[in-house]
Amino acid sequence: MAKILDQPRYKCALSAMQTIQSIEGAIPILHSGPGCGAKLGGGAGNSGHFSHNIFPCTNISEKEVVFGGEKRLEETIENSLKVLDAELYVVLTSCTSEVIGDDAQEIVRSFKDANKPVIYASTPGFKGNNYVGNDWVIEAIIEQYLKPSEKKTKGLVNIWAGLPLHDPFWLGNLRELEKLVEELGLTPNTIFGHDRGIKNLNKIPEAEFNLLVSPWLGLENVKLLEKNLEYHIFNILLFL
Amino acid sequence: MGINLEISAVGTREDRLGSITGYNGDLHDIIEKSKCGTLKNKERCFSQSSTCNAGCALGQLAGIRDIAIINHAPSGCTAMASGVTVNNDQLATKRGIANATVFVGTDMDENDTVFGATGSLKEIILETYNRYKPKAIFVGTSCVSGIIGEDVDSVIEDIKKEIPSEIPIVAVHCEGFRSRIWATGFDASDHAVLNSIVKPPEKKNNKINFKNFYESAREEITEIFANFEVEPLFFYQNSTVEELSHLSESLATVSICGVLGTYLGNGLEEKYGVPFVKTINPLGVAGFETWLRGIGSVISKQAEVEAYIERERAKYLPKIEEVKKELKGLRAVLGMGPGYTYEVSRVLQELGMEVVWAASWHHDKKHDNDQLPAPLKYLEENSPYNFKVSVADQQNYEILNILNHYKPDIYFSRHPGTTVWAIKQGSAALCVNDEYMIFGYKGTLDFAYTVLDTIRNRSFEKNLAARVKLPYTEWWYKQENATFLKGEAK
Repeated sequence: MAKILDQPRYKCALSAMQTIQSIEGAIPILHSGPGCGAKLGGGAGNSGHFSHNIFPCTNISEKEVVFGGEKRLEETIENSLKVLDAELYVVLTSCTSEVIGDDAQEIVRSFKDANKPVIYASTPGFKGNNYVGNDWVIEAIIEQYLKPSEKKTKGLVNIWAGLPLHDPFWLGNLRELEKLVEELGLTPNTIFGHDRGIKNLNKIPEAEFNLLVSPWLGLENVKLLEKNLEYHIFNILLFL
Repeated sequence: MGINLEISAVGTREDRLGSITGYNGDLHDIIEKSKCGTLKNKERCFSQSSTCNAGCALGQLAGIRDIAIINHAPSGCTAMASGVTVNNDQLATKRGIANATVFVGTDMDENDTVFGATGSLKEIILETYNRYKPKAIFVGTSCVSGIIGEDVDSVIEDIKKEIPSEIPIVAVHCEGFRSRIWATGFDASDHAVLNSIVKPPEKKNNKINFKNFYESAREEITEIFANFEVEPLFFYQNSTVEELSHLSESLATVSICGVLGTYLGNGLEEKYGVPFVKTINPLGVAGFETWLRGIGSVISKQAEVEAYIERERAKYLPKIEEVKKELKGLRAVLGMGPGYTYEVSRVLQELGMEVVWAASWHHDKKHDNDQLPAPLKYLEENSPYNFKVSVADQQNYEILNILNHYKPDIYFSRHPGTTVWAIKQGSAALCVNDEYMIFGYKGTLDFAYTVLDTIRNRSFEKNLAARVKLPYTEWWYKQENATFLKGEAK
């Protein structure tokens, strides 16, 4: 079945790198070809705290395609921890690294005792678009990074409303939702954009509610947070 | 020779020109090793996201008017489509023309990756033709289509029967992993044009093929060339398939960038005898004059060229001499593609500045005429001193380390994504983004003034640097910039 992609409005799952880029303090490590970051970073600019030309990348070449790129990924992660000043390192796989069968998950597992958290998400471009890539990487954060919290903060609401750095109004929409939640007398908690980042990410388990404003994007992830009894977060769903 | 038009896929720069992306040393050493063939690539055990040859190849071709690019790739590879459309619209509007080029993709999914997608590629080519009636169709390959072994050449042979024969349809082999050097993409686009668009000459015309990026000096160059009774034909941006089909009938080929032009220029020379002017490029005074004389001798207009040079020298040289006094002794670091690194190094030396470190995004041991690239040969003979050189495919961490160590007065780059980081670290920086920024006498003078503007007031860089948290650890700034280059191996 032919699917012509004409005037595309979406990108591939590896665009999950933009979700990570939007969490201040977190950096993606791309196990991909040399051009993926530059192509997917379009629109987000070359600057910011981290940007696509700062992201570590294995820049897979013919040699890795033929002989495998696991060793290269391992040394890239190891040296990323030394060179880049981040609080969370998220390894993302690509079309090429998945087709050649590199076991990125296993490599990442070997960094479980590293001095900074290193997690992993499978995001090959052929498997889905940037919307689902966003969900997969958030799922990876929930499962591999977040820890259940003893403490609950009264009135704290996690807001999930679409993916960052795609719709040009994404940040304005998110900030406005924060204001509305505040006017209800609650405390909003978002993770994307300036001055949110890792510190807010760490607060997610302390929240009483998830507020999901979306028809389907992010639904599985808030369900995951709700179902997982350790978190005790109730979902409010606004299917806009 | 490296140019083989009998095969469908262009040879990579690594294979054809012995090009590398990892090196750390100095000017004399890299020239010596390039000439005797002992220069070897050094791999990195840490690298940052770079750029792929597919983006370069398809980006170049997408500037041609009224054609279709079909990217046989997953959706992310086609993310560049919107950028192409914006570029094309603006650059066409600037010239008062219209460009109806479309950039579509085949959106390869998991099913396609497992079972192949040549069937749907064929349908999409037909659909694209019927929807847009393009003047030519270029089908680009990707990492995925390459690894799973899609036989794009056969699909194209097949479909030629269903599309009018006057519409060229051609494969562009540009799998992202096949070369670490994105400039291989320039060659892939040239290979496609040479193979399928350029026709054998019927009658010679008075045009000079001008390979460039965005033709911002179009009017200026048209006026200069009028002095010699020739016309420039700029491409690929805003060119037409019809114009390109006559490239073989031109008097000569020139290129604003040696890296950009080597394949097409040498290819046209080899196949059709169109002379390729292989001098240093028209940046700075020596560059401009050498280049003009090179053109003059190819088109037998030496006297006219000398008259022009004399006229223009009188206008600009006194002013350039004046501003040089203020630039004298400024210490500079550069990070550019090799088509510019050594050209701009020469201009900086000409203006009295000191080149402290020149980083080039890749290094060609030779160009397609089997000779050391002209700007390197010029520096070998004329540079008053040796200077440090590194080769890195835009590895930002290495550049910021170099800047931190050498603390130059100014950093030059051709990529906005690197100048911004230098500024955040407190270095004055100038983005030599427009390929004609230092073109000719006037460009050289303007450039000198712009350098002065950039370094005179440094409070912006200072204030910004004081407030920005940089991406790198303190540990990294204490290391040598070549720490992650492994031993020579390939």
